[in-house]
Amino acid sequence: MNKALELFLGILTAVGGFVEIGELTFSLNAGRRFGYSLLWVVVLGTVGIVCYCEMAGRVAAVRKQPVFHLIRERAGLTAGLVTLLAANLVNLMTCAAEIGGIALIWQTMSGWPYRPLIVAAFVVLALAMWFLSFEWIERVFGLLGLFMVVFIAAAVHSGPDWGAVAAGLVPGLPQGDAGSGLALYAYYGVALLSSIMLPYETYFYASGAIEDRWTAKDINLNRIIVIVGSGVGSLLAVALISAGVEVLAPRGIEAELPGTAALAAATAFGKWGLLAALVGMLFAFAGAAIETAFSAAYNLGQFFGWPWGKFRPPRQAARFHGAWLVVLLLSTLLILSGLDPVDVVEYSIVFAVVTLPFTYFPLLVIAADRRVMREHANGKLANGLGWLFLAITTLAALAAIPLLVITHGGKG
Amino acid sequence: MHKRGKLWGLWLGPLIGGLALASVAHRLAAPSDPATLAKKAAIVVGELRSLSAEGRFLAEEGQRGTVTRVFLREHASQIAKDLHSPLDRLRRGEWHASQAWTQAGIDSGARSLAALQELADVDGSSPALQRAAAALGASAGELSRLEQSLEQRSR
Repeated sequence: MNKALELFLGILTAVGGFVEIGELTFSLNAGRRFGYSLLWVVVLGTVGIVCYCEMAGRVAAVRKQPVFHLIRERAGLTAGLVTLLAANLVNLMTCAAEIGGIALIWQTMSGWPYRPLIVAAFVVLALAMWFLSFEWIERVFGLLGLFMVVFIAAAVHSGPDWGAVAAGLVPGLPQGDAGSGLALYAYYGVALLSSIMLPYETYFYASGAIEDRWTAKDINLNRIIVIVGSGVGSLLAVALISAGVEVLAPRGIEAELPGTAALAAATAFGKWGLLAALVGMLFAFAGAAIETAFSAAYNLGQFFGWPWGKFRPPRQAARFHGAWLVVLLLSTLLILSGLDPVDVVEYSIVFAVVTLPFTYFPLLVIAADRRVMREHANGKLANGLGWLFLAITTLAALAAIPLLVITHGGKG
Repeated sequence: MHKRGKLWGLWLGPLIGGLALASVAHRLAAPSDPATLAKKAAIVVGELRSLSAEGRFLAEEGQRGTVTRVFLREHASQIAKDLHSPLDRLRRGEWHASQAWTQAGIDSGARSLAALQELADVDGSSPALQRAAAALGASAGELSRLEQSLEQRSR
């Protein structure tokens, strides 16, 4: 395929796949509680995910080694196994929340009952994962997820206080809900960072680089897709924070349902805005459900050395294909049991941050190793940022669960 | 490097687990004094207030014609479903049922629930939407005052 077209589609799919139900919920509620004062976390998280996805893509392109292969090799069997279990638990919870989110949105579009829609979501996702090629899965769900740009248009339409937006880019103490306290501010900061740097994004991206048969020649393509795709994608998170500030805060509404976000788009653009928001969220959540289910199967295959990859037919990689199907099924059962998708995602986001340093450390070590990566090893900037974000994610991992407990799950 | 990776897991994992356990133990050991109870109650009342306010917002958007009939009906029923949980916690919570604020919160929450159910069954006519918006707005206002009073008691 033409390189320019590949680059263009890669960027668009990265933008369309940037937001999932966790980021949606935390961005809206961060804006509703703290105004624009957590915008700097979006910038920080975006630089972090760019830094580590670029490394993961580069290592995959040069060494053909995805993330869990490195974790097994560098952290050893026991520590690696604990990381695998934690990462796949987070994948399972995230996938369950996305399936619940899909059913809730589908219900508001069709009027059909919620529980059968959970089952329908499972069937549609399983069929798409089974029959569509990796390339088409990325395109269909990533490109249709782009309807979420309606939130960027709605944010501009709402006429935000640009001075407050600019001030929010500088780290500082909370504005807005003054009674909430620093612990709550820190909780939202950690959760927002986690929702942007979700570990499955790195697993999926590196595995996808191998699925797409990238080589060292694709390193620049990797860099541009990650930087532009994540950079533009982060504008969606900024727009959702803006919706929290401009639409939810004045009305005293905490976002508990995906439909709440759609109302923000409806306020700006009426029924067409509502429809665009619902379609965008539907495909963005579906894309995230597919990515998390595949990520869990990739992690298992890479850790245990099974043949893995969507490019391999089921007869050649039976355990890989069986694993994603089982993860998808378990996630569906979890949501069918009556758990609230937004409650599930709140826990999955907090536990996700705990797995980040365990995922990033082996990746950083190998990406910096000149004996292994030769001329493609990290330069000074990548190394500096890598160590900085390892320190930041380690601090966030240590603080995440205590903050969850202290703030009553972010309620106050 | 293999050793460094192992060392990394050896200190960081237990430290995260230890901090998590310590915070849970601290929470469990915290006394159930009136201020703590008021804080917990304020959170539950705050959830009811937020859902009532969202119902009002939905009804107002329905009046403006910016949402489809199906969205109006289904989103109202999703909010009503979510409202059951804090309402039940208020009814069965650890605070004393005879306290005036408990009953006031339950009454306001029940009025919101009734208005949301009406919104879910609404035929889309403007007077019905106006009625629902007014009822939900009134409940949200009452719950907001109750929440503020509980917040003050929790300090």
